[in-house]
Amino acid sequence: MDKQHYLERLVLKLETHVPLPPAEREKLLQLPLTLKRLEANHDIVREGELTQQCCLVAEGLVCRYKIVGDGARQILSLHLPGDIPDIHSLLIERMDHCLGTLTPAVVGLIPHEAVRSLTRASYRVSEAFWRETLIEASIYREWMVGIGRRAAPSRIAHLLCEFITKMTAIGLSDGVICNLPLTQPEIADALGLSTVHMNKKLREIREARLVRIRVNRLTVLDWKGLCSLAEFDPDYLHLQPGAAKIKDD
Amino acid sequence: MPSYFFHTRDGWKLEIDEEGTDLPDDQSARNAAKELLAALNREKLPNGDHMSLSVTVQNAQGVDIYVANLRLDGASTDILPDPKLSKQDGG
Repeated sequence: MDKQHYLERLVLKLETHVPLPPAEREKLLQLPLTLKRLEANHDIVREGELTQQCCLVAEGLVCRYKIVGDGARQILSLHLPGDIPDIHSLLIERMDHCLGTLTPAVVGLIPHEAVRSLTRASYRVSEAFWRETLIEASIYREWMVGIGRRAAPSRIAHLLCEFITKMTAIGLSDGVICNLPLTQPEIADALGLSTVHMNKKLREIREARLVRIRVNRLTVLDWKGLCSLAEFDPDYLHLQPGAAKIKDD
Repeated sequence: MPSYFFHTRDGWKLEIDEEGTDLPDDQSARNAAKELLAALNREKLPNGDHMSLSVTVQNAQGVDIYVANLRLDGASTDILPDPKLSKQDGG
């Protein structure tokens, strides 16, 4: 796939939150991109590093994470194609967490200078990126509530609801079936659970026939039931009414 | 990595783990069992005053390598009055 296609994913992602005028869309599509193919579990930027470029997720799944003293990993957020998970590095250059791939991935590196001159030239693009970081903060709040207060089954169900909703919004799922390329330890690391505990509770969710998970493929069998277990309300994702939302059946 | 199976018992309810979890060695499996008990305990606690949880770890060869039990017995002190105190109240 070519660079244009990946920049279109960026535009698509931004437009799940706010529509952009054609001229601004065009400017985004002109951004210079250096494509890089990466293996799974590869660090893109490490904590403490200074960066001079932003990283657009083009293919695959990327996460922000931190490692604590005893070596345990907390996955802080999951990033899908079209995301620029380190857009904040434009203004905060030293990374305070790591950014790494969870699956084989293609990333597009965009020099800070290019993003900066674009945001200076277009307040709409600037606002679109600002909005992205605000919505990300909203997602962090939701994760904080989950890790702090939700019981394990609800936490797992919430992650599944959020994942398929985001995948659907960017056109990578039909809202029923979606690629879920996460291993069980990775899901556990995102939810602050032990792998054994996560496996047990995920099994209960599957036995309740809310979802089916087979070789990286998530199939929602009972969306209402899953949302109710998760207490999932997609408002915090701030999706445009036009962006695909999963309907209750 | 070898697989370990974590069968749990909650009161009379037995749950057989048929899928297992890959862990580096027996020691990690024992630690995982204790972690699982602690986590299940946190989930169950609000529901009552009595709880008995246990986990049995089986290795890939079907041999039990570890068993751990956790038990809670709670009672409110106001429904178990000290007999001496109630005598005083009465008199």
